[in-house]
Amino acid sequence: MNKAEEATPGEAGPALVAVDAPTRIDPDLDFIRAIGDQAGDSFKLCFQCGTCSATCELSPETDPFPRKEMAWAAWGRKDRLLSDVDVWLCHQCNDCSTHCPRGGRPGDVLAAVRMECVEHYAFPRFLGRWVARPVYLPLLLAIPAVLLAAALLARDGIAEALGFTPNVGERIIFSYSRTFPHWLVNGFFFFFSFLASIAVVVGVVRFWRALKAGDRQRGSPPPVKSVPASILSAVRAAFTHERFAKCTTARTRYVSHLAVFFGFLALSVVALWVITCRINPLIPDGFVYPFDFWSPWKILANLGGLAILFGGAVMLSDRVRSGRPGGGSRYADWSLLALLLLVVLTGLLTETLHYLRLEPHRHATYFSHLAFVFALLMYLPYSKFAHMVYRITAMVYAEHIGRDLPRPPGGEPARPPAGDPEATEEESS
Amino acid sequence: MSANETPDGGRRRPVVALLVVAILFPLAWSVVARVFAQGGRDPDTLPVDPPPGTAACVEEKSTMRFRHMDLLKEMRIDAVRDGNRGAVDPVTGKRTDITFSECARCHASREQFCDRCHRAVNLEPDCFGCHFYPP
Amino acid sequence: MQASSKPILVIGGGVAGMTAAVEAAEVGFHVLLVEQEPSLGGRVTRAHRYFPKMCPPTCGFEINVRRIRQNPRIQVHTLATVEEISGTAGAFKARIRIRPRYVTGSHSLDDAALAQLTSERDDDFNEGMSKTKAVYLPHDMAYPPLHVVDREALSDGDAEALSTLCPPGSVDLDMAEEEIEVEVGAVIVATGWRPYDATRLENLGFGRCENVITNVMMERLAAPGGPTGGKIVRPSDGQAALNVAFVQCAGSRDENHLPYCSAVCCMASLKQARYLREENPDAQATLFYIDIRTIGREESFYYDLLEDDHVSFVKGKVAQVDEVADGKDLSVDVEDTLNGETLHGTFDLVVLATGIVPNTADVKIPYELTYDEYGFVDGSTNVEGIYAAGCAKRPCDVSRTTKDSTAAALKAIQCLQGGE
Repeated sequence: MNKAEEATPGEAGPALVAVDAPTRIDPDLDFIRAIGDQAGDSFKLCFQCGTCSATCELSPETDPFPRKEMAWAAWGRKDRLLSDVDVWLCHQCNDCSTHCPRGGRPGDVLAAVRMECVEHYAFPRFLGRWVARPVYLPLLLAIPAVLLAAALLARDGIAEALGFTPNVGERIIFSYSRTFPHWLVNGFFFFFSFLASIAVVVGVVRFWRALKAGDRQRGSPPPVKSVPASILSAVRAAFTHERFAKCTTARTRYVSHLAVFFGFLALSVVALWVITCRINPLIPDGFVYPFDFWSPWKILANLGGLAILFGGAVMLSDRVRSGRPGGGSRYADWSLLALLLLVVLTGLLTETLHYLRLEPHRHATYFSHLAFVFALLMYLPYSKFAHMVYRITAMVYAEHIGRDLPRPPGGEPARPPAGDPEATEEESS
Repeated sequence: MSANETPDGGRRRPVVALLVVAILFPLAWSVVARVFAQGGRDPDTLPVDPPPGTAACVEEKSTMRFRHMDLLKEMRIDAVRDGNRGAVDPVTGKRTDITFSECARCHASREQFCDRCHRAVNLEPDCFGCHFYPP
Repeated sequence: MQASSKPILVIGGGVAGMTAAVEAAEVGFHVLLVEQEPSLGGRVTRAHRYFPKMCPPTCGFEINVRRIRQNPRIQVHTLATVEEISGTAGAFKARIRIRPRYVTGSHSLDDAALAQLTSERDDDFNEGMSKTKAVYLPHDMAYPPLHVVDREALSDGDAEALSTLCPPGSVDLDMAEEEIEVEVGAVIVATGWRPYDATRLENLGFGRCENVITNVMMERLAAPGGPTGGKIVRPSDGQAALNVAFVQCAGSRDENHLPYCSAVCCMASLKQARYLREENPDAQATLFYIDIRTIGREESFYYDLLEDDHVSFVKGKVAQVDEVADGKDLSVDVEDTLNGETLHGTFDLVVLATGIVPNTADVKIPYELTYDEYGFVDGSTNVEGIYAAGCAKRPCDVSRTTKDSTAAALKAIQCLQGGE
């Protein structure tokens, strides 16, 4: 058993079965069912050959994923999977699913576990449940529409109470200012964004604590990198998409995600610039919306929208053609993609209708645009969109604990999977 | 598999750098524009004070900016329907002739005063199809 | 009674077909043994040794050939294929096409003289790793012990030269294809198998990396009659292979290739690791496996190898084989699942344990038979009077095949006598 001796297995690490932990496993049957509902039941066929781990370009050399996650999923080890940083280091290239000799689709299983994670750490929990279940979709779409409509109905009253002059620009040609005054839209979104960011922070803190607690329980070695330095590395990795670029099977996903990522970033930057105009020293006093069509800001925003449209279209075509490379698609995938495309499409349509001056239409479109933006941003902590915070958190954590580093020498060897007498025999021989 | 560099690793970094620069470009442009605007004429603030020997403008600058079209419409109706080719200044009570020539006394350049903004917000008001704005 | 009954048609002259033929003939039944290759023996004669006893297949083959030769009730047709079967149990009609051998058998041909020929062909007996002349003896133990002409490979010049190189009347290039029709009482399908096409295992590098070979090639490398005279060497430079990786389940137990277990590859690789170790005391063998499937008495064969500190076992399915950047050595990517560690081993030879594909996956028996989804003849829903044996039915090793063939012979006999 040369190889086994050569390897220097580390302290427990994220081993399949923690060395000193009781080996009794209480499978969470609901969790197994939930994963099966999302990823298909084929993961139960896994025979632990390790093709997935070896074929994965993103997996670390030590305790690579996703083989061990496949076992945990089949065993219903919800506790273990929800505090497993590796689940979030996966970018669902699906190289594993393509090569899986059992048709087990580990990429889809990890995607399902990630959505379970988002739901589990959601604050408040009921919103996590609502966003995860298609049955609540009408309600979730009605909420922004109703809130926005209520805000618009109460507009003049609120304005008066706050001391805004409601009729400034009353018959002005920039009729958005009348129907959707900026103070109202900005205030509305500021308020709900604040609530959403509280939810994000609570979710991330819960997640981080779970990661820490899991590692502490397993007696993992101390962190190797400070949190700020880890954040820096993780953000750099996120910007360059360097992990995504390693995907072999889902090559198009690198391009489409890059387009959506930077498109969204561009739109966020422009939006920040616009809503801070009154306090921004770089913007002249008395700045008037909207921008000149050829203003760099306007160009950036338009390009950003088109980039998301392009990336989203590629994602959509990949998912519709589906099949093996793209991986299976779940409600979480469809809903986020649809929402993203709806936001961009209604945005670009609003702009077009505005230039065409189609009077009631542009207002109606703008209204739906705002409602979709609301859904995108306010449900961020609960939808697949939450991957942006959880994945970054996981990437930071991975840097923090030195996930990519080899195991420290002198640790206990990891145990073979339970219920594999042959493996045990071989170890001893 | 290994953590070795992907073959296109060299090509990817410039792409990302370009995207980041693209996103930061408008910001840089705004800074530059703002800095250079300090020395030059800022058309938005023209005219700060009425030239000597002329009356104050019809309204405050911000009101004029937001409501000039309303004013123009009202004045048009006054002039065309009622034959009233003068208007009483709502603030000072002073009568002013209703004509673009009156505007042009202070705002000499139609390009700077009207067109620039209309262009910026992509508007094409049809005032000047009939009316004359003295150059 | 037996002598008057119709003969049994055995399709396939490998170890399954030969066994069925002699078993039936030796109790007095007539047998028609049809083999599509120029000689009998099939895939087993290509092996260097049998497991688990490690004896060469030639001795068993020799005995079978002797039993066939001395038994007048067995009629052998080589280069022959069954084109059509009609009728029902006890009264089948079969149409057999016999391709020309172009060698009459009147005189034996002299290999030394044939060496002057320039036309050559890939030696399929050596898995394409060597060449033979266009007029060749299939292999040393070939039965019938006759040369055969590869008409397509034979150039016009060589065709003319044959008249001077060979005794007059021994070669007849005008020999025509024949078709015969026979009446048979029962049919035994012993069509055997072929190795899975390793070029379809793109990630495992076969065809892309010179030093990635298959297990059937390894048998030829180790065999004294093989292309290297029994030396296990790297195809790229002919150097002795000192560090060899055996990649198990190369295609087998894989939904993307062969979803079933091919049953013999574990033992074959363990056996080949022994070839390597016996040839070179410094050589190192590493087996990458999902499970080592050795059952019954074969288990001790495996345990013996576990004792050898030059043989390592890594539990994990190999995901990728590539040539290393600066040469013909091979890197093997795998997760050692017992340690939870990704390994990137470097080897100078990689042997893919490719699995068993039934020949009936490609060419069906010309009669309404049922097959499973992989092309194996379905044993349970078979037609009365037609019985499959050996790898036509499912992957199995030689010892199980011979038992299976004996059973099939018995079923055929029962069928012939059932009406009495």
